[in-house]
Amino acid sequence: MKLLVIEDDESHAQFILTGLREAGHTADRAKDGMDGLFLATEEKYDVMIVDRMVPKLDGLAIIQALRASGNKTPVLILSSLAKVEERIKGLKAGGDDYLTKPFEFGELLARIEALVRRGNSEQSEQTTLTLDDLEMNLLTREVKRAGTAIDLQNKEFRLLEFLLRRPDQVVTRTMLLEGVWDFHFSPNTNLIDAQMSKLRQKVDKDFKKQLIHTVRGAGYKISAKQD
Amino acid sequence: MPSRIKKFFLSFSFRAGAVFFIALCTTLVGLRIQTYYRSLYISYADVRARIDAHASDIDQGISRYGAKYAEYLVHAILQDTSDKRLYLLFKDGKSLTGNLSAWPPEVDPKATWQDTFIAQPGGAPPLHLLVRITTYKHRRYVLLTGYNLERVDMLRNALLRVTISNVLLSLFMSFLISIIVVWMINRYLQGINRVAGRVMGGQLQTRVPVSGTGDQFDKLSANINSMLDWIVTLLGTVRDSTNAIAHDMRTPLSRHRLELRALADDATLPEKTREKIAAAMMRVDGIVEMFDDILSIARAESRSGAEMFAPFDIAETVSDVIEFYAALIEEKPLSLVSDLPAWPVKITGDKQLITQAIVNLLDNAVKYTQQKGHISVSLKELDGRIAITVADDGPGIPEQFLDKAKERFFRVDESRNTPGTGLGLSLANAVAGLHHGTLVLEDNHPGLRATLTLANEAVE
Ligand SMILES: Nc1ncnc2c1ncn2[C@@H]1O[C@H](COP(=O)(O)OP(=O)(O)OP(=O)(O)O)[C@@H](O)[C@H]1O
Ligand SMILES: [Mg+2]
Repeated sequence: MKLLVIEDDESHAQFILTGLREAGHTADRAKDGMDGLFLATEEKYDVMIVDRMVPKLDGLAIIQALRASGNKTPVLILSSLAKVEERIKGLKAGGDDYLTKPFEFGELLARIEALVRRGNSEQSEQTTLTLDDLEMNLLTREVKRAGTAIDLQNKEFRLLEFLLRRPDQVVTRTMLLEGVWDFHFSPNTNLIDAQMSKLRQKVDKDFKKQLIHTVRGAGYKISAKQD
Repeated sequence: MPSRIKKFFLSFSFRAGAVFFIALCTTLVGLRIQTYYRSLYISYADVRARIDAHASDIDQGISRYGAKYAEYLVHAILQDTSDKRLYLLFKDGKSLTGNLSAWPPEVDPKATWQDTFIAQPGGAPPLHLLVRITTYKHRRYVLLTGYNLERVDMLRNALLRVTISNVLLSLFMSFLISIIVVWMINRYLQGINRVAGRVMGGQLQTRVPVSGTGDQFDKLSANINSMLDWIVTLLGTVRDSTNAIAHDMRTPLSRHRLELRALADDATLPEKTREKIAAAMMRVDGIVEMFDDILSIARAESRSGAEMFAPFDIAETVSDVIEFYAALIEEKPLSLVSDLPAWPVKITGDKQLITQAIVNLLDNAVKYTQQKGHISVSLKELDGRIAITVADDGPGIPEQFLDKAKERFFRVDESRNTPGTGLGLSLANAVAGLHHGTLVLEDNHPGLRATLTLANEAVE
């Protein structure tokens, strides 16, 4: 895919660009807000990565200008402003996701991919989620694997639902914390791993085919494909 | 109850009202009573003057024309009976003339002025008299002049009625005026209090109305307003500077971390080195987290975070946090019992901060309690406050450090080999303060019992 990176800090920009290229994407870079807005309106991008504090034109102003002119390109805001208020401001201005510095590249990549997929498949109101022989009924809150019922706790259910809504996508621990628990601070993230291993016990333990996979250095992924 | 009554009597409103009431009352009632005595005195003096006039007439008569003249004069005066005046003239102990047959036993012949009642024949009510005894010619003649005080008594009764009703009216008016004055002062103070409450609740732009009269109350209002302006400026400074610190710290730390990440991923470096680099990277994360906590504490302590307040179900939050720790609790193993209401408990507050505070308390219990220990978590609602208690039977905190443990970076020596920065309890404490509550740490015999209390006044 094709991305636009609006970032004034040289080392951040280089790191992101290299990473994106290694992951097989192409990316343009703008050094300031004016350039960024110009590129964003001239070219067609799949995703934009926007730093909030860039010279000449503030990151949020760029997003607001784009949204006002009907540009719907998904935007990931990358910022060193970490407060929840700032995050809300960013999303209100038209950003689709918010990531704070410092970050792991895996986190950035996972979020970009999630944004693109979200844009492609405008989620219809589903009542069941299925993957291979795993089946989740959102109305009755029943979960079955190969016809056998699996008994899940409240958050385990939400965790599995979160994964099933993003099949074959990398889901990071922070994404899980925010999406499943609504925790916007960083508690002991090992706890996510503990939760996940409990969920795996219930979903995968008695079956040959493993559905929940650990992605090294990034997070987790639910997938029917075996690697 | 008695303490409430006692509080009422000690209250400023009551004392100011009472002082005002007593002052007003003394003045008004005193004035009425004075008027009463003055009027009475005047009419009494009038009677005396009349008696004196008659007595001196008779005296003059006796000295000029002889005692016989006095007899006539008394006689003549007695023709006019409307006043029920009494006269009796004695000479050498014998009655000469008058409208009394004998000396009335109630009258003392030696005293000059007497206010007395004289029995009347035939069951009539006794006469109230002012009596004067006058002697002439070396005490050979004794004249008793009695003046009926019936009119004075009537006047006194009328005056008494008027005075009593006036006194009652004065009491009532004083009471009313005192209440009105106290009410006015209270209303003014309530206005100020309301503004203070709103400001503390986060509506920083609220100000006390200034009427422009320039009196002391107005000056007070103006001063309070400029204090509020100042506080708002300071809060702005805290907010701006924490934002600036966050940005200025995070950007270089993030750059640093990127470089470490690149090295850690560099396959040409030996595995050992890369492991060390990865560890250094984790420490950078630790520093960033520590900064976040310090800034959160600073903002919560400066109460500049109220714009994030929104209603949410805190019972759900507590049970989510417990579920979040469930896997770790099972793994260690520890046992946890929770006592949470089965219904939603709404509170208005900063959900993220409150969640973080609860996480910190449970994190400590899980972290410091030894294997097979017990943890209990409860949520109680008691008149407008919500109390969340996390108790464990681990090592606890020594008595002398219970207060210190809430300070930034404080860690008990024994805990130095467990990971942590000593900011968890400080944050919980600051969050409690932001929500007009407290964090209380107690000995759980054994273990620690931490109670986070949050005010829930904003709930309808
Ligand atoms: N439940 C507990 N049992 C025993 N000691 C405790 C408990 N909770 C806190 N303490 C003591 O109080 C100290 C301060 O706790 P606090 O949560 O503020 O910091 P921390 O746990 O050391 O680090 P952090 O929470 O920032 O990771 C701890 O270091 C520990 O010595
Ligand atoms: Mg702690």
